[in-house]
Amino acid sequence: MTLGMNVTSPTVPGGPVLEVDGLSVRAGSGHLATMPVQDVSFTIAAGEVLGIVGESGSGKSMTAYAIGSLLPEGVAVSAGRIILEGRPVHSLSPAERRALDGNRIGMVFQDPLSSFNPVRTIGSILIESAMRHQRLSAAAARDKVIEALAGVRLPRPELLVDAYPHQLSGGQRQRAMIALALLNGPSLVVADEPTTALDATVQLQILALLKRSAGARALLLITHDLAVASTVCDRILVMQRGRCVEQGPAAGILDAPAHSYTRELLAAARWPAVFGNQAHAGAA
Amino acid sequence: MTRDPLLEARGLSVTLRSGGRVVQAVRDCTLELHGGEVLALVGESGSGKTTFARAVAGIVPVASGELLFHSQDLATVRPAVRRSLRRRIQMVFQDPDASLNPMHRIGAILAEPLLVIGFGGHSAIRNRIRELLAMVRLDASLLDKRPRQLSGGEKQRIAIARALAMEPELLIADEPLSSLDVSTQATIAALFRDLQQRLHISLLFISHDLAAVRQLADRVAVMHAGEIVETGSCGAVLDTPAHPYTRLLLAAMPDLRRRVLDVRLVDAIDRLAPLPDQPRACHYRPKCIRRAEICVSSALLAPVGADRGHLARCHFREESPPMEHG
Amino acid sequence: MTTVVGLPVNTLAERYLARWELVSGGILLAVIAALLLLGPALSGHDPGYVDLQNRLTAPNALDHLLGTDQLGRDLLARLLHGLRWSLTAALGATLLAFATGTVLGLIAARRQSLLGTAIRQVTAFAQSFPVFVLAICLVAIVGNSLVTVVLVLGLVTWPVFCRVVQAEATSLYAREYVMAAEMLQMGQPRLYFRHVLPGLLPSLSVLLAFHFADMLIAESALSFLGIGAPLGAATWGNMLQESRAYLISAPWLLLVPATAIVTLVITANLLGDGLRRHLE
Repeated sequence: MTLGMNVTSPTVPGGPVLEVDGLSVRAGSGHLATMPVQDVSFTIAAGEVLGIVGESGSGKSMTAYAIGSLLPEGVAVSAGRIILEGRPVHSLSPAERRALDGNRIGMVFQDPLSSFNPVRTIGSILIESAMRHQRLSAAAARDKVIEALAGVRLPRPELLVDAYPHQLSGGQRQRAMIALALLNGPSLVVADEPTTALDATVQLQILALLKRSAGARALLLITHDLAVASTVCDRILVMQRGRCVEQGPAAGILDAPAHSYTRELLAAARWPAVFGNQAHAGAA
Repeated sequence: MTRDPLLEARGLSVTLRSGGRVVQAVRDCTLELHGGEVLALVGESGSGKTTFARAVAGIVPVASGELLFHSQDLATVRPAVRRSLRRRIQMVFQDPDASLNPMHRIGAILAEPLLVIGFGGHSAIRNRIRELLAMVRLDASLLDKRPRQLSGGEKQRIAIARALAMEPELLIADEPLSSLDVSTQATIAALFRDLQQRLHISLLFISHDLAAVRQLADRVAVMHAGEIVETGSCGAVLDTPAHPYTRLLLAAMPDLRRRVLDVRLVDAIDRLAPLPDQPRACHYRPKCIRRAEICVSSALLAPVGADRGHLARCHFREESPPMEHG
Repeated sequence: MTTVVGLPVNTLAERYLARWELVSGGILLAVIAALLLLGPALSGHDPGYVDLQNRLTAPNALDHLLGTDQLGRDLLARLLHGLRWSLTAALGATLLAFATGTVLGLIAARRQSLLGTAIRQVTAFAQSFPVFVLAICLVAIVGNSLVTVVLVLGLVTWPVFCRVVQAEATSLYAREYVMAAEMLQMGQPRLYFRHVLPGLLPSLSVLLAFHFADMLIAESALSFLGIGAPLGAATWGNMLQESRAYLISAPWLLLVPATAIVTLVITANLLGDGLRRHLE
């Protein structure tokens, strides 16, 4: 278990799927600029699950967006490298990135209702993606999509293909989003708070689905919930105010946290006994 | 407790109309709450717990069944009696942003209940407001501010203070912690417990968070699809759950100590074949891994073993082993 | 998620631009109010005084600031009289529609009642009625007068208020602070005046402004068609009607009432847009 380690691995097959080295992201310009992400480094190997844990404002989502080339207007990578399967992607133009992404990275977001276009059927979005990235005919793509929907254990996938997002429950939409992310066989899956908006029992199913689907892929899970990270992740990276404060195997971080902030997060997540812990009384 | 219960719901049913569809939000629920007791109502979205709470609060009309407060039927008493009874039931809502009128100042918000009951003159009201603020550990400097100037935790404390202004006997808290951040949750939960004990109020605590429930509640009722599927003391239900849904809820709680994702449980649920709707069948049947032929006919709430207070609505309630987590 | 830093609005010019509609509308409103208060007396002439010696005189600074019409009547006086007529009619109609629609809308929103459903159906039905056809029929029955116009326009256009109030009130009743107020078991008046009506105020005030503009145009159109206003009365619609024969020879006969109508409508629209932007 180390703090903020700096890793450089050889970019050869067999190396890590994702390598992030000294990544910094800047928002705004001039003297009003802020740095939501500062000097973050980590790698994810094939078959590995890395969890980035932090509170809101820690920069964990920005890191995910930087990897997925989804940084909003005015926000950009200002330093460091992002290397995906040996290829640097932090310096590509949006067009080059688009050509790359469909096959390499699958993204799963928090709120599927706003991530799916409400006036299009679930199927049309997935079919379009399959046709574009796998160069399939419409009919072949449709078959692939039905297969993918069945793969995420959605009932009656042949009917669901023609359903609209609002006709599905939150859990079903999230499964569909995972199907979309996995459709073109990406080597990296990035899930940003994928279960935060879901009920506990549905969350259980979605996390299990993510873990199962990760298989031989690399999975990056962003969450504010240490308990969620503890059930799914092999390694955990803790972020605070844009910086990585601690990183290492999950068991190590949870059993023997080295950094005080990690200890704070753990304490908060353990639901202090209401009777015992009066230390916060009157503070909120 | 051999006294009559403070609140009694008998066969309570509520139907909601949403967008042209009619939904049975609460089906035939029977529940008791005694004086000074904390009863947690647990369930996920769509379980009907919020609708039940609102029916008790009188905000949502009851389709059938009775609601008794101090053994008086709230539907049939004279309006004047009903008004005075209902004032003894107050509510704290989930979203502190939405539960305070954004156009009013905090002072006005706290004064309103006192004005409504004709509490007294200007200075009497001012004193009572100071008392209320002290109870929720807030400073009088907030009185001139508007809700948007307060933090989530502060707003929720004001909501609690407002609910306490009329000296209620029953406080309904509908997911009062869900909209707060984690550190604030613990503080507000402690406040609830403290006030409940000091003022000897009954608390109907609606939540989806079993960890909070374990800390706060004396008894627990679990709701699913509008029905109460299990009820009993907190220890009985959370340590020896008898209903498959309660077991699933407990398994689904991400727990730092367990660190295990019960993939086999999830697989078992995923592999369940869809079932056609049958009117008298158990409503949990479609998702239940324990289901059998007998479940075509829904079970009644019945005692689990020797504990007469622990009831579950399942034919197999007596066979579940206790949970492994400690 | 971090947001891009926004520039603070500082200078007077920027503050004006952010509220330019309200400011401009306000200025125009002030001018109109002044003219309204001063009345036709401002012109020094009687709007109905026929002076055939001075027919169709062009606007001049001496005697007739805006000229005279085909019967020698002073246009400024007629304009100011028309201002009173139009404002009264539009205001009266708007208030009548507002009162009727709001009351019905509140009743319709109050829980899922049978009365509420009935009101909703009636509203939908009433809203589909063509205003003018109804107006013409009603006036034919009742006769021409200011009161007729106010009644007709008011009673035909209430559905829009009813719909808006009903929709907004329904969503207000679903707000937790209104529920919390209901739990205090306060009297209905207090609930309405302290919680419900203030919540309706933003959308209602915008609607009032735009509805007023609509009523202005509707009244002008009605009197242009010769409905509602007595023949020869000094209303802008009448003036427009009478100007048709003299479009080329005496264009001011058209320009005066037309400009007045347009100005008043623009004022109302500016205020409406400004209010809406301000309340967003």
